[in-house]
Amino acid sequence: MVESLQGRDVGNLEALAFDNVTKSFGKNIAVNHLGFTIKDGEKVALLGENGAGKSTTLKIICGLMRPDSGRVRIYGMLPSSMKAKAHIGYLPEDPSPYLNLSVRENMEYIGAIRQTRNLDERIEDLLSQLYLKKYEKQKPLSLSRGNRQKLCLALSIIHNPSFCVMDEPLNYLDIPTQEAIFEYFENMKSSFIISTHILSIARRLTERIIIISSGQKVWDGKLEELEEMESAGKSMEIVISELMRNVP
Amino acid sequence: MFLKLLILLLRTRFSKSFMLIVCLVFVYSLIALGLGFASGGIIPQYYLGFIFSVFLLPATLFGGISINEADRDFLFTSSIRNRDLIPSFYIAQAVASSIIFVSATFVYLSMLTTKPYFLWMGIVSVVAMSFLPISMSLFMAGKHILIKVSASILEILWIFSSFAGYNFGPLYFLNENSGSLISMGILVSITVIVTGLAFMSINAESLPFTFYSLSEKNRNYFTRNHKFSGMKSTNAILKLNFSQIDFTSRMASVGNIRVRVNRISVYAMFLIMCLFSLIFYLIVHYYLFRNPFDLFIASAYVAWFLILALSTGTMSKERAWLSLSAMSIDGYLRLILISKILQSIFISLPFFVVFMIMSLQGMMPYEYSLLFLCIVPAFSGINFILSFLRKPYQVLQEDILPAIYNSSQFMTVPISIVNLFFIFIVMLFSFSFYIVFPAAIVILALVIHSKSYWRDSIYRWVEIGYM
Repeated sequence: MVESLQGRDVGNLEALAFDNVTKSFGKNIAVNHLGFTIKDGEKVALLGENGAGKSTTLKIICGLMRPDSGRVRIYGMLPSSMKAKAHIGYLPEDPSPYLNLSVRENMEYIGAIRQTRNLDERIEDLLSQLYLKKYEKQKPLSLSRGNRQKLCLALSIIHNPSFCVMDEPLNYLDIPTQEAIFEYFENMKSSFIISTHILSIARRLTERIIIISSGQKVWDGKLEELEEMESAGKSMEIVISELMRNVP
Repeated sequence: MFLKLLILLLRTRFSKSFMLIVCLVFVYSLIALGLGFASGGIIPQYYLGFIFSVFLLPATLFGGISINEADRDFLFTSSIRNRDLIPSFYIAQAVASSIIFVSATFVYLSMLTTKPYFLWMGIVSVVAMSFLPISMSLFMAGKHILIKVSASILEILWIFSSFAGYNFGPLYFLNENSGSLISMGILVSITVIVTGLAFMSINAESLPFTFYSLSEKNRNYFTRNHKFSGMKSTNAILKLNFSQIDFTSRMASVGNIRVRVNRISVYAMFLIMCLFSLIFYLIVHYYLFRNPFDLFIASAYVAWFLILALSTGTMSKERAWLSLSAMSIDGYLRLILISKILQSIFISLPFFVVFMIMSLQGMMPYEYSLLFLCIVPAFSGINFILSFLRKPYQVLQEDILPAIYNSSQFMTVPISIVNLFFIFIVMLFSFSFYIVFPAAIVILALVIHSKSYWRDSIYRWVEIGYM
């Protein structure tokens, strides 16, 4: 299924339809009638304050959380369906791999579950691209936080997903690895939705920005449009903070 | 400073959750020991030996001090004199340990109230028994594993010598005769000496390093690397979950609640069970259980131990964002359940063979052997299903050892009491097997069949933070 998408015209297919979705935890409304779409191959940054509902949105997209109302589709399929899962590569914030398996065992296990083709080659490729080769026999607990993040990144993309859902993917990573990731993601033809607090990551990795606040969308547009809003004395950060406070 | 620090540490070690756990342990001891008393046999005496071993051996092998992130990052980096820090840290840990230990042994002590002479001896011994693991844990911190294993073997021999009639054993005072005073005296002396050695080993600048070495990372003994490459997803899941047992130890390291997962290969565990079943047979055959009722209770405890050991750690290593977002939730969890049932049948085989041999020798009815083989996998499966009813915990940072844990993580205690209750019912009234076992199978079948149960469970878990 993943392969079948790659022959299609990028830009004509809807990778994600997130339509009027609401999710509450008791009295706290985490996501409030939020709606947007992402085209196939499009790279989108999701920006928002702490507690704005970014992580909840990503969990709903991945089918790990059920919305109270609204409609979510990944390439036209329910996120919890097997076919949709085959497309999604999900990396949560502060992820943890299987602590009782070594780096390679983790990759082999998740690769096998994901039915990844040419798994051994894929593992070798990821180990070398993410500078993990020398740690392959180690257990995650003996790795630094940064190396553990690299492993989790590798696990989330081991099956060449066509839709990557990432929550702060570059947390804890050193500068050479960050650059390697930028390059790697740029070369991927997949769609991306990346939740981040760091503007430079949004600028480097994505072309469109969605800003949410209190679970609602407050701005949605191209990065260039945001840059046009910058004026003398007003940096991009100030513009974004003002947008985030502008809850309808 | 010492008092302020002690109060601070005590506050970090005690919470409502901790006291709830103390209550649960007390209730458990009432049930476990109450059934033992009912037998009129020797189970109550062995209960105290068992509890002491449960506290002392893991503390020696794995460390019994509970350290949280705040201790590491702020307490040990503060300019506090060691003469304030060390005793206050020790006392806070020892008090927490004692409360759990006393709650586990209170019922036994209450037996001695009619004999004041032995009661005070029992109290002194119980206090010494609750302090010794803490001291041993500090003393053994950073020592080579072979030294720790050797010390543990000596401890086992020391504890068992009490039952073999040697008055230097720590539990010999239970015999309530003239040798009791010697037994208590030796126990107290050893506790004092080891405590002194522990304090000596952590003086000067060594305290933070000692505590760091206590929290050394999971070694994963008896494990081997798996190969999953080229396997179908179903086979990979079955292979991992059948061939690996994840033991969680919760209260294993003294009352200071600490959670860790230890991975062990099912084949290594099988060999260990062969050894244990052989020892069990020899003990039963040549030494201990004269009363058939004791034998039934012992076999029920073996079943209960296996059920707990094989099922409680399963979900602690799982990651919702990995396997559960990689394939269908219900399909994945069903495969885990099936592999755990197969695993428990495999692990039960050595004891099943021993029980069959004992049945052939007329020591127990055949039905009990069959019951054992059926009840362990059935209740392991049910335990796995029940694990979704409590708030989950995930072991994300095994090198950080929190002092305060949510009491809901200890819901396995009442669940295990229910397990134990059913096992006893079946063991005592063999005809109930024909009700309990089919009921267990029906429950398992219904839950295995239900997609919504697994999905709803995981959705609920993710909502409360399980990733």
